Order: sequence, then C-alpha cells, then structure tokens
Amino acid sequence: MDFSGRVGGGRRGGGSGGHRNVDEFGRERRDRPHQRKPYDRPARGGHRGGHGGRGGAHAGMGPVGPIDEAQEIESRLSSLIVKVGDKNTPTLQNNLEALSVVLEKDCVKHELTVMRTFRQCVLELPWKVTVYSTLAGLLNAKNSETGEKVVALMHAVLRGSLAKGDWGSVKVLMRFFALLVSTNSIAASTLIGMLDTFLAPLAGGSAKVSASNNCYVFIVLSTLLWAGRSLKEHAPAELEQRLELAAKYVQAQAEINQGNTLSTVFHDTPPKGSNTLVHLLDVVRAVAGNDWKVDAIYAPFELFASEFAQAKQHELPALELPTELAATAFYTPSEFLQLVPSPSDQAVRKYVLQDFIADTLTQLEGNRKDCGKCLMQIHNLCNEDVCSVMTAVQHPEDVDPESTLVFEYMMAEVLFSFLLQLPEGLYREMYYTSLAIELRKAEPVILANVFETMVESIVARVQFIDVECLNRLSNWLAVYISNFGFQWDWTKWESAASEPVDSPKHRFVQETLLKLIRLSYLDRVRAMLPDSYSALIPAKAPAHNFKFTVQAMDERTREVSVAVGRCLKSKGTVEQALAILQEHYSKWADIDDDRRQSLAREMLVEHVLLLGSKTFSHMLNAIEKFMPALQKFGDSPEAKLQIAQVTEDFWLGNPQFFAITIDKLINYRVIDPATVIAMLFDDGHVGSWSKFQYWEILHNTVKKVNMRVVQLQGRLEAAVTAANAMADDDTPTEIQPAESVEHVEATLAQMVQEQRDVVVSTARHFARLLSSGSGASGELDRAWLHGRFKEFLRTYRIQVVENASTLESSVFTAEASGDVRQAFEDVRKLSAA
Amino acid sequence: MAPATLFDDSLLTDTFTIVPRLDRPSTYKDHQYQGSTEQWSTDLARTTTLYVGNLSFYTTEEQLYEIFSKAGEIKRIIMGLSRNDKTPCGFCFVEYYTHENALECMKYVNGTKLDDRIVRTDLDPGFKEGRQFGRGRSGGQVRDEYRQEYDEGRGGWGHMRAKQEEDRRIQQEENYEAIASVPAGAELEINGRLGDKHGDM
Repeated sequence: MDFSGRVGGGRRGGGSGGHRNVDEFGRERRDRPHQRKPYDRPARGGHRGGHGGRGGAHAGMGPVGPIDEAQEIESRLSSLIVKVGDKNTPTLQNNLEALSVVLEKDCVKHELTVMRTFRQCVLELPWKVTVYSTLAGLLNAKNSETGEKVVALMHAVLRGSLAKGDWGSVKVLMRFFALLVSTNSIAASTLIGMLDTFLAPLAGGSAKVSASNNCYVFIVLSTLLWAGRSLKEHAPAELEQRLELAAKYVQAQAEINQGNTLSTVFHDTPPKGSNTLVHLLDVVRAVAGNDWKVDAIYAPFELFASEFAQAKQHELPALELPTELAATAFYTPSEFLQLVPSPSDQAVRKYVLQDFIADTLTQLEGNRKDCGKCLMQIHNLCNEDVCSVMTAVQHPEDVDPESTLVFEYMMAEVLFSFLLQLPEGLYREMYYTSLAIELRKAEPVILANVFETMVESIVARVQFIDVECLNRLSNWLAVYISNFGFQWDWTKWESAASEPVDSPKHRFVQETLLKLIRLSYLDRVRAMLPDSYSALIPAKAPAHNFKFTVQAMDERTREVSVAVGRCLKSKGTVEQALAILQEHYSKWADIDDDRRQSLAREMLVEHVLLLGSKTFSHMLNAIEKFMPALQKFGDSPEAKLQIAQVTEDFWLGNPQFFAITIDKLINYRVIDPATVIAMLFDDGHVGSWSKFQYWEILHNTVKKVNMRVVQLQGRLEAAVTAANAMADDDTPTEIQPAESVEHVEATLAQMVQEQRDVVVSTARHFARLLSSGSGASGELDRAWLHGRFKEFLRTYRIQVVENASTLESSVFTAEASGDVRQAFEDVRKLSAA
Repeated sequence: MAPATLFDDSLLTDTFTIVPRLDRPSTYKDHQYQGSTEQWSTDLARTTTLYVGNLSFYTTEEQLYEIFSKAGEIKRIIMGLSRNDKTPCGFCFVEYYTHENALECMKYVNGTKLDDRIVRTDLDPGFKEGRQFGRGRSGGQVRDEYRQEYDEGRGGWGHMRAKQEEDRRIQQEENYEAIASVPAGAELEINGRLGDKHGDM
C-alpha cells in the first residue's frame, strides 16, 4: 500500500517528484473542483495534515503549538481512515488490509483519534458503508478487543441517535450493523434482535398505522435491503418472518392511504411510487428475488470471507425506542420523484444510489459546500457499468438517460424530491437552493444543464403539480437564477404571457419574475427579458399608493392631510398628531362619530405608512413611534380590519412591503392574526387566488401564532422548574422567579385559544368560498384556492386534527362541497398515518 | 452486555466532525468588542445577530430582507453607514428572533450571491449603538481604505487608491495641459530603413 500519496490531506500532487497528475493511460486528468474532496484541504494554522484540529473538538483552542509527532501521526491516521475506499479501484482490497494492520497496531496509542474518526466516517460518509463495515470487520478479525470497542461504540452512538430521534443517523447506523453480519462481527441473531426492537410495536400483526410505525418500518426495510444477503444464509426463517411482518404493515398503510392525494406532488400519473414504503418494499422484494444481491456498489467484504470466518462475534445490549417523541419528530421518508426518464430494469440500482444520495444530503446538511463535493464522489464506489457520469466523460451530451442510469440526473432528482416533499421537507427550502448553487459552481456547464432539464421537466407538468410545490419551485428558481448572473433561457416560456393570467404557467413565470425583482430591481430584470414578457412584469418599480395626494380630495380633507403630514414630517409627537386629527374632524358636523373615527383612523394610518415608506427601518421606526395611537385606533375587530385594509391599499404596488408591514403590525399588536385572516379572505380577492402574496401572508401569520404557543410552553416549563426549585430550597432567598406560573399559564391558555380561532376561521373561509358559486371567478381561480386549502390542511394538520370535532360540526358539514369534505377526510387519515 | 468502560466516555459527547459545520463561529472578531474572549464565545453561542459584509453600496434593505428571510423571520436590519455622509457603505447587521435562524442563515445563506456579490455573514454578539458606522478614516469600512482593486459596487477605487488615482490624474492633467500644440517630430532619415522608403518589408 502506497501511503505517500494518501497522507497529509491537502498536499496532493506535492512531494514525490515526477508524480504527474495523469490517469492510467497517461492523459492529463481533468481538474474538476468536485474531485477535490472536502477533506483534501490543507488545515489552517501549522502543517498538521488532517482535520483533527478542525470543527468541533479543538475549535477555538487558539494557535497550534510546535508540530507534535503524536499529533502528526494522529492526523495521518485519521486522514487514512477518511480517505480509504474513496474509489472502487483494484488496490482497495490491499489498502483496506494495510490500513487495518496499521490501525490495529496504533489503535491503543491513538485510540481516541481513531475511534472518533471512524465514528464520524460512518455517520458523515454514508455511501462508503461497505468500506467501513469491512474495515471494522478486519479490525475485529485481527484483534477482537479492538473490534469489540468499535462495535460497542457504534452501538452506543446508535442508542444515542435513537433517543434523540436523529433518524438519519439511525438509518445509516443500522445499515452499518446490517453489513457487520457479513463481516462476522455480530451474529445474525443479534441483528434480528435489533430489528425486532423496531418491529415490536407491530407485533401481533394488527399494528396501528402511525407516523412512528411508518418510520420504524422504513428503517427496518432499509436495513433488510442490506442485511438480506447474510440473513438469508444464517437466519433465513427469521428474515422471511420479519419481511412478512413489515410487508403486512406496508399493506395496511397503503390501504389507509388508498386514493389519498393530499400530499401528492404530481397529479398526472397514478400515484405509483409516491408511497415511499410501498416503493421500498417493491425494491426489497426485487432484491430478495435476486438472491439478495445488491450489486450497485462495490462490496469489499466479499473478498475477505476467509479472514472473517475466524472472527469473534460480539454481543450487544438491547436497543430502546424513544418514548417521549412527538408524532412530528419522526422521520417521513421522501419519495424519489421521477423527473427524467430512466431504464425501468434498473429500478433497484437507482433506488440504492438515490438512497445513498439522500442519506448524504441529510447527514451533511451542516455544510452544503462539502455536501456538494461528497455527493459528486458517490459514484466512485459504484461497480462497473452501473451508471454513467456526465462530468467524467468526454462527451456528456451523448449520455442517454433512457438507456443508462445517469448519476447527475439521479442526484438532481433527489434534490428536487427533497425540495418538493409534502407535507413538508426535512430542511428549509433554502438548503436545497444553496446546495444546488454549490453543485453548479463546481460543474458550471453540465450541472447548469442538468438543473435546467429538471426545471423544464417539472414545468412541462405544470398543470398537474401541487400548488405549494409550484410555489417552492418558483422560490428556488429565483434565488438560483440570481446567483448565476440572472442568466436563464426565457425564450422557452414566452407562451406563458399569452395564457390566461391565472393559468399555472403564466402565474409561475410571473411570480418567479416578481421574486427576481425583489432580489434585484425592476430594470435589471426587464433588461434580460424578451419584449414579449412586458405583460408579466410591472410597468413601474414597486411603489406605495398614498391616498391623499393633493389632486384628488376635497378641501377639508386636504387640510387635515397637510396638517398631519407636516406634523409627522417635522418629527411631531403622537399627542400632537392625535390633537390635529381631533381638532379637524371634530368640526365635521355632517357625519357621525363612527364615521369621523374611521376617517381619522385612515388618515393616521396612511400618514404613518408614508412616513415609513422609505425602507423597512423607516417603517419599523414609524410604527414603533405611533404604536400607542395605532393601538388606540384599532379598538375593535372592524377597526383593526380597516387598518389592515388601508395597509393593503397603500402597498398595492409592493407586495413585499405589504407582507412585511402586516407582519410587523401583528408583532406590535396593532392588529391580530384574526384581522389578517379576515383581510385575506375578503371577497375583493375573488379572482386573485392565484397570487402567491396572500398565502405568504397567511403562512407568516399562522406560523407566528404556532411559534408563540411553542415559546409560551417553553416559558411555562421554565417557570414551573424555577418555582419547584424555590419550593425545594429551604434557605430564604431574595431571588424571585422570573414570572409566576399562573401568569404564564393564563397567557398560554389565551394563546392556545387564539391558535384554535385562527385554524377554525381559516378553514371556515376556505370552506365558504370553495362551496359557493361566487367564491372564485372561474375554474382556474378555484383550483388555486383549492390547492391552497390542501396546503393549509396538511401544513397545519396537527392543529386541524386537534380541532377536528369543532371543524366537523361547524365547518365541514353537509353544506360544504364534496372536494372540501374529502380533503378534510384525507388530512385526518394523513395525520393518523 | 458490553460494559460502558470499553471506550472513552468522551466519544459519546465530543462534537468532532470530519466535515466542518458552517454554523460554527469563524475567525471574525469585532476589534472594538469590550468583553473577554470567553465572553465573545458565550455571546456567539446564543446570538440572534449576524454581521453581513461584502455588500454593494447600492443593495437595499428590501433586497436584504428578501434573501435573509429565507432563514427565518427577521427582527430588524441595521444598515452600515458611512460616518461622514450617512450613506450605505457595504455592510449591515441582520437580527433574527431566534438563534436557530441565525445558524440556518450561516448554513444556507452565507456565501450565496446578492446583487452579483458573494454575501459573507458571521455570527455577531449583537448590535450596539455606534456600530452602524464605518470605522475607516474616510467614513466607510476599513477594507475600503486599503482596497487596491476597482469595485464598482463599492464606490470604485478604495479610498487610498482613489486618492492616489486622483493625484495621478491631477498630475497628468497638469503635465499635459501645458502642451499647446502637437509636435511634428524631426525630419531626419536615420530610421528610414524602417519606413516604406525602400520598400524592403
């Protein structure tokens, strides 16, 4: 084994003279950024090769001292562990053998480093599981004490991940243990015992379909996919029985979700494959039918069978399932959307690779840059002819996705599957955006084409896609385009301009352009568009729509407006402004008090908004300063609604300012969440349900309420703990608890009531509009509204189900239209499942 | 049953990672920060504020709001201003409501582009009055004092370079203004060979 080129990450190509960067045929290697592995970078501060000093443990420890020999060895060791098996090469077998010898020898002296590195390799480099399980097996075969330590450590990490509900790690670790059976480090029965822990809730075969059971069965099937081969050999009956149990559950789960399209991304195809568990079961059965052979990835353990035969198997303590996790804390596996055609006879290999891609995306979420680099490494461990890699061939344009699996397409499909996952993705949308940006930065031409193909393929199905998903794609695309010089081939979508304004394509293109304008400015966006797009973008830059411009009002209104305007401009106080309003309107004898109050309210709000119209900071300052007056004027639900509607009119030409002003008015408690709901579902918006802006505001509002409940629950917990601590403490103390338990409880109860009101009233508005002939201006308008209704139900399914009886008796009654009641039924099933 | 003593307990608690996380503090430091290094770390461990650098002078609060709200609801944005003319000078503070949002911003927004420039964010202990102003001698940021490259989004040349460029321009102007007429050059044929007279090219 040649260690010289593999040690001291970052000094690639340096050192050994005459070592040119050429491939086996003597051709210059193409220098591609993704071929530099994330851990190839030279470490900061000193000459320590590896990465021992980076990240967690040593971060912020100050300057590195003189080069310590032990440190040098340790960083070399960890570098070796990290890099082994990066590629499926003929030398891999030898490398593994040599590395296990070195580690076995040095493990005692450098145990912490070796173990820590090994642990993270399994967790962070999930696609190399065959390599690390083999390495663990070799260590065990050479020295069963070392082997026992490794196995025990990984098992302890698994127990910790289970307790925390870190399902990504649980899945990855279970796969590692599945392969440990192949290396004879644990017995088949030990693995069966581990699987049985996950299957325990299913025992008896009449298990309730639930989020937790979905998650457990997903992990069991994912593990069986890799464990099948060795279990078939050592425990065939047990294997069959576990598979049967899982299959029975999958069937029950599928029956419950039969025809439930509430969280289906594309509605053009029968929802085949959209049930992840069913799809995974199909894959597992296909693998079982092929003698449990998983042949996509190089499996080095097969080469060491004779060594493993002598190894010692280790016993492991029992696993425990978490008992106190909320239903939302369980892993909802993402389906893999088919966006590019692929050979149907390769479905198993495709799943195996996309599963690795998905795990890498999950495990390296903390660093999208390195995640991008790692993703582009995965194919290196593939067996020959499993997939084509466009970024590694001379003529990427000749690669045909219909005749071969194309790695980049598979990767992009996973990325978009995560982005479009319903009811919600694992991470913020922005993760998938900035990850795509990193990937394209490394491969500017090929990945630009890949992502364009993906977007085109989704837009080609635009009339069938879920409304929320279309919204997410639009957000994604705008940020993506703005990161690459605003370059995009707009000519392809020219037809959108001539479609009806609420056709999905027209709306998608228009909303994407509006987002681009928000990220830059109107002229910039206009300059890059063909002339045919002029109807899709505003004629003038976003601006306010101040009502009291001098031309259009009567004399006495003008007088008030001028006086108020002058007062606010010259930094007048709240009292002065109120006095001016009082002085003027009290003279208007021809109208009643209510009317006067309403006019004064409008006048003040218009002027406060104008005062704050320059930037968000100005807006916050204006609202903060006039908060007492605004609150005083917002003394009833109707008054609050008027404030919100004046705000909408004022910012008619600037949806971004509209959304944020509304948001801030809630924060400053000038208006309530209920106000916002009433404003959004105003009949005046019929015909505009396709606009994204209303739903952005709806989400901001509901999420804010939910967030407040969560925060108050946290505060209550803290208050109770503090109170208990006080009670336990005999010594008299001066310190008072920060807040009384009663007070927090009362506030929480109030907030929970508000949360209930928001959910019920929103549902009521949706049901009313969707069930009446006048709730939408046409079929398209109604389709958007219905799409947003489904989005609302599934996003807030917990609150919806909590209030199910109220909703059932007063909202989703027999008068509600059929598809409305169906969606409500679907969401109840979805949350039950 | 594997006893717990098989391996070092720290292996279950250390936060070591092979791939460094992006939501950990960098080498960024506010040079006028008053507390100790430990205090700095404690502040960063719960902060909701980010320092944002490398902005164009023309980038607006609204654009910042659009991109930074991708990581969570924004509490406020404080634009960095030139001390002298109170115009944006290429940095700002973004404050979220939660620490988690600030970390998500570090992971997902830091290093992406806004107005064609790579946005750089760093965890910051929090805004204090006075920090909104540039600390360079010319009112802007210190980095713009010494910058040698032309940067259209940040007012052209760096302040020192701008001064040099201006001096050079003035000197050039003075030198060339004096030339009233274009010299014709001496009519000698020493280099005639190079001309077209002999036509031997």
